[in-house]
Amino acid sequence: MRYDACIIGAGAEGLAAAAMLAGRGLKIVVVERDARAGGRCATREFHPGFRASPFVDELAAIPADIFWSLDLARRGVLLAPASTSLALWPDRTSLSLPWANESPMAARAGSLRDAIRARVTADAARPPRRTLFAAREPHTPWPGEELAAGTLADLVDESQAGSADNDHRMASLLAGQTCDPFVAGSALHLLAGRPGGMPAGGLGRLGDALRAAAEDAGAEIRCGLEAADIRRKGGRAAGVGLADGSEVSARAVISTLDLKRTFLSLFSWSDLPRAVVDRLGAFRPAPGTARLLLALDAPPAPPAGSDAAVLRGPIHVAPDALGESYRAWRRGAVPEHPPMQLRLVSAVDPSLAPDGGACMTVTLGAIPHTPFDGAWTHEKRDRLRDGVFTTLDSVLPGMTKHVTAAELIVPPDMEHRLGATSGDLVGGEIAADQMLGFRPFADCAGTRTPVDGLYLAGGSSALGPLMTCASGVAAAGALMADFAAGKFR
Amino acid sequence: MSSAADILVIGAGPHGLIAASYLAKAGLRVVVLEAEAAVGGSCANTVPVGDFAVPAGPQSLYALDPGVVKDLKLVRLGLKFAVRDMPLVGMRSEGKPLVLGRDAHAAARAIAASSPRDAERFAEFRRHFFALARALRAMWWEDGELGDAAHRDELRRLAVTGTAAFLDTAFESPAVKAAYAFDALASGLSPADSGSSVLLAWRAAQEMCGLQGAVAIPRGGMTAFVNVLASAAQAAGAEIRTDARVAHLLLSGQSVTGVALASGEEVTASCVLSSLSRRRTLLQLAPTAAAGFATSQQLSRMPQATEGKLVLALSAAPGFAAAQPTGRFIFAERLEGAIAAHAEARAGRLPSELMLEVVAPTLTDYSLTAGNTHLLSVLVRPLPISPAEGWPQLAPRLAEAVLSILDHHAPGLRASVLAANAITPNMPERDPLTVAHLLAGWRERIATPIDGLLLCGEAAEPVPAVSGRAARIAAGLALARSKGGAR
Repeated sequence: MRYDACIIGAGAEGLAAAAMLAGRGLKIVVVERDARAGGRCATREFHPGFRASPFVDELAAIPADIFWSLDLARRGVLLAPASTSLALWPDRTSLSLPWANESPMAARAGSLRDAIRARVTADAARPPRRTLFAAREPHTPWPGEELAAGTLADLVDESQAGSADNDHRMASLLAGQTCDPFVAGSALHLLAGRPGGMPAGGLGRLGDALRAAAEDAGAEIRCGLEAADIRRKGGRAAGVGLADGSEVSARAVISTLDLKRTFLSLFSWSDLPRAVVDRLGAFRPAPGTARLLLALDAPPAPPAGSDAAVLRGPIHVAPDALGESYRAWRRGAVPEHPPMQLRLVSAVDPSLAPDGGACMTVTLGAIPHTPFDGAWTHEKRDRLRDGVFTTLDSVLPGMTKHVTAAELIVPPDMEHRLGATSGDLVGGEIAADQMLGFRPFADCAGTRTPVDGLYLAGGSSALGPLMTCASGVAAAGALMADFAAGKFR
Repeated sequence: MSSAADILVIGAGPHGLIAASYLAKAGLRVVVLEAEAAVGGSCANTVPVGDFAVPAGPQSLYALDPGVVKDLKLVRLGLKFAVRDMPLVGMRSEGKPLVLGRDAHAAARAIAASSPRDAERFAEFRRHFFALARALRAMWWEDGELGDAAHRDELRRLAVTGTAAFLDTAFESPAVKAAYAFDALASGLSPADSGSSVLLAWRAAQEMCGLQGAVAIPRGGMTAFVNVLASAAQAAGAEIRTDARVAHLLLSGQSVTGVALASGEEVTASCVLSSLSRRRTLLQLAPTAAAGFATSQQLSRMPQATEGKLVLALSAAPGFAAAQPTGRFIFAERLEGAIAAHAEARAGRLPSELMLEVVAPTLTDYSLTAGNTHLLSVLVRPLPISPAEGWPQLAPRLAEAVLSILDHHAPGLRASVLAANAITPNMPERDPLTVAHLLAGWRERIATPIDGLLLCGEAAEPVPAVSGRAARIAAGLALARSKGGAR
């Protein structure tokens, strides 16, 4: 049996692409390694009665048109965006509203993201012409290219003064990511998607809704199957070989894995064009994140002088060592004070914790996948956790007395469970040479790849870090345009 | 009191003198205004070290334009080189130094000692890198854009790539990466900054075969070079006025009409060439509003870090230079160290890891010092622009840090020091380097918002260098302008 397209990975991007393509009447199969669809849209019980999303608390916003065309609202997706952002220092508290959507910087970021999506969508709809004497098309600048020479610190400083305030704003803008805000090119983090809000019932609910959308459209979703290689026929992708030895034959393949995993685990090295191999070697992962899931027997008290509502949004702990942490990560060291973002998820969604209890997640940025002194051990994990507990007690005194269970997830765990290379959830560092027109390939930005019939969605594609579901939809658009042009019969 | 000239040149440093020579040769009445009592600017021997004096500015020539040498008949006037084609010598605390010169095979052999993989990839790296450099040379020689689409794409990619990313892809050996990274620290950039790899390509373009001199030291030092230029300018008929500090520019509307000197005298001219930095020219010499708000804002930004110099007089030749006396020695251990050092400098601290470039001119040019004394000129990067504790406190610590690095590589060097002098950064002289500047055309770098005011100094060069290229092109533009005006 031959499918029109085989999609590797049933995460948000893969499911959105499947729903779009199946909705157009194409025969689609999604293969997923895990027993459950959803990818990072997962929520699980980590302690009896306490549930949390292990990888992230919320994803970048889903563009409104995709949200509605997938009918997510009817499928029970109810998003609660944060309205405040709190910064806590051991000696002082600072409270500020996050950039509401009407702030000039957020408006600029939003319109740039939309313009980039429009560009990728337009490119996707136009199959590349390949003629013998093809004149190179003149370079049209990408929206946001001017950010490649700017620094995040300058960008934030433009709008506000006061250094503690700026540190808080940068942390809030980065939302758990890490960079050196004084290095040219860091301004591109402005483009990274703003969190779109926590779905009621946890991210798993969003995963279920996306799966339902894909299945209702007629896509077949096969879990527990790991893709082992991409079959090629006549120089183009013609199906997917599975780890159990079986094969899925398809006219085209969409991979939602990251760039390295797509090409290194699904192709043999020698099959790849030289340009692809060079790019894979040069592509850098983003700093990893670690997560600490905490079950509390009582919610923490809000800092003096503020009401409990401030605990509903993200809480940044002493966000003033960003650059140092980033450089420590580059050296492979666990930073002394990693950027730390707390979410009291049960304050937003009481269903995640039993009555009287509370559920908190701690996201630590700039955590190396493999520390320079060797892989993660129990001792290193304990040291990291104890460090977090000490910091927590310094900003929310007495909080750790209420911890009844804690689970630490470090980058290798993320790699193991999600298949993300180096545990990098962004799909590649946000840097000037791997964003916009350079993500993933300089002459193949967007969703097409140098391998005919193979499309890339997910974090490593141009739209990946900007918004959720958009790169899957763009890949689907490119695939349909190529089908319509008569390719891959 | 007032006088008149066709064209004024501010600063009698190498750039100003080259521009003046070209203009005077064309028959214009040129007056060079020099603030100090002697010509030379930053190339004059103004810094005492023991019994000697050395210049505060550049220690070598980068890619001196052969056209300048020929047009101004510099050889006939006495220009000689002590060293040409200085190889980059990466010093390591363990193992033999890496000599990265024109001989690619020898360089690959040197690299093979620390990393066979890098040695294998070196030839390829060089090919790729020099292809980029060749692309840039089109911008160096011709006044304008690159013609070829493939190169434009390649440069567009380079313009967003940091030196760190570029070198990390090319090499695995920390010593090779660190040796190449030094040049990317020029003008306060960090190797992590996007686009800083263009700087490396510019350096390669300058060092490539075909560009005369590449990295060279004139016989008699930079001072001798400037003296040759001064005699060229005078022979051509330019008037050089020393002790004539320019107080401010005279403008009429948006056009320059002359300058006012600190003495109160006014000199009128329809065109002024400044060899000072863009910042100093537009913010200190021009009236506040003349540069325009956006330009002033941009110019008032300081670079994130700077560089300094330590000059040493030694009683014996430095041990590390024995194997390769003509080299420029780079003391840098790791690329990561350079990135961290830049961050420390940005925060106003003396970095814990310093990167040094050492040149020992006396090893090859005996005319410089008498007898057994040797001079060592150490360029230190990166350094804080405004250190928290202040430069007077920091300078001795800087000297101590540099000496301990040198002494580690050449035991006994500290004991042979006769005199030392730290030259701390003079910031208004430096403009921040941006990618836009690195990839702009000559005209864009030379022009200013003020009509008739052109830059001809280091500020108009793509990367800091004494190449004479900017001065020559600026003189050409000024000439075309004055001819157009006469018609």
